Amino acid sequence: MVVQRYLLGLLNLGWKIFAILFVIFLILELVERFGLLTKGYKKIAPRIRFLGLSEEAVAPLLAGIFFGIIYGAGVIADLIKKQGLDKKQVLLVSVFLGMCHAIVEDTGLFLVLGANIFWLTIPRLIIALGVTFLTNKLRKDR
Amino acid sequence: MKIILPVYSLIFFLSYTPAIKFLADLLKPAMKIFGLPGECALALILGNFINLYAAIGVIPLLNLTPWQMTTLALMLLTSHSQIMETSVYFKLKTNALFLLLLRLSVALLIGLTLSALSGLIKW
Repeated sequence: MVVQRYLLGLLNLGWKIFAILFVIFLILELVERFGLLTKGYKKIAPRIRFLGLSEEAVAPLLAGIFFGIIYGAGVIADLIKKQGLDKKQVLLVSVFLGMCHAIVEDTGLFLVLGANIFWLTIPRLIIALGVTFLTNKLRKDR
Repeated sequence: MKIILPVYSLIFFLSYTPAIKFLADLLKPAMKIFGLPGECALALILGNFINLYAAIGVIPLLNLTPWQMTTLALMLLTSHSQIMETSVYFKLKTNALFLLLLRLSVALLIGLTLSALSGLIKW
């Protein structure tokens, strides 16, 4: 039956999305509650210098990686201002985030559809690192 | 769910009409370079113009192989919600146009690369 197929497909998709959204918000809440972003901060800062990113760029970068560009827009904009990032830093953060952001939510959505978690995360991070590195190298300093 | 429900319903309905097949046939050659069926163009278009949830509404209806699923997922994860996200970049006063083009071209490259690898990697 067509109607049956329609409803079953919808139900199947619906409860999975609901479950994953629940988990996502739980994780994001925990990240916020325990200040994992500020704790991760110090460990990450020296490791991303090769991308041309300064220590001040870590906070908006982490915010975007976890919360995404749309939900994180306000936080990212605030952090950029607060940390006083220059134009180059903003561009590099934007490039990295353009390639890889909202790793909890976006990854979760495709996980629901049966994609492989390795392929959803690791290549994305590698691509983000590579493209940011190249942008920094190739960028003409104005 | 506000977006998934209407998209899913509309595409489900359309899949019983010739409309989807027409569009799929039209875009088949373009999708072929990514190793994807023509219908995937719908997911890419919806994902890029609206957001990932719109794409998610279509994907279950496409019957993709795991490898095609991975290709589509990585392409969409790299380039999606362009209207919203590009406007965020405008707000951040960075080079939004460069970022838009960068994301689109990287997504294209990912599609080409994964399509080329599909024969080499056993799933």
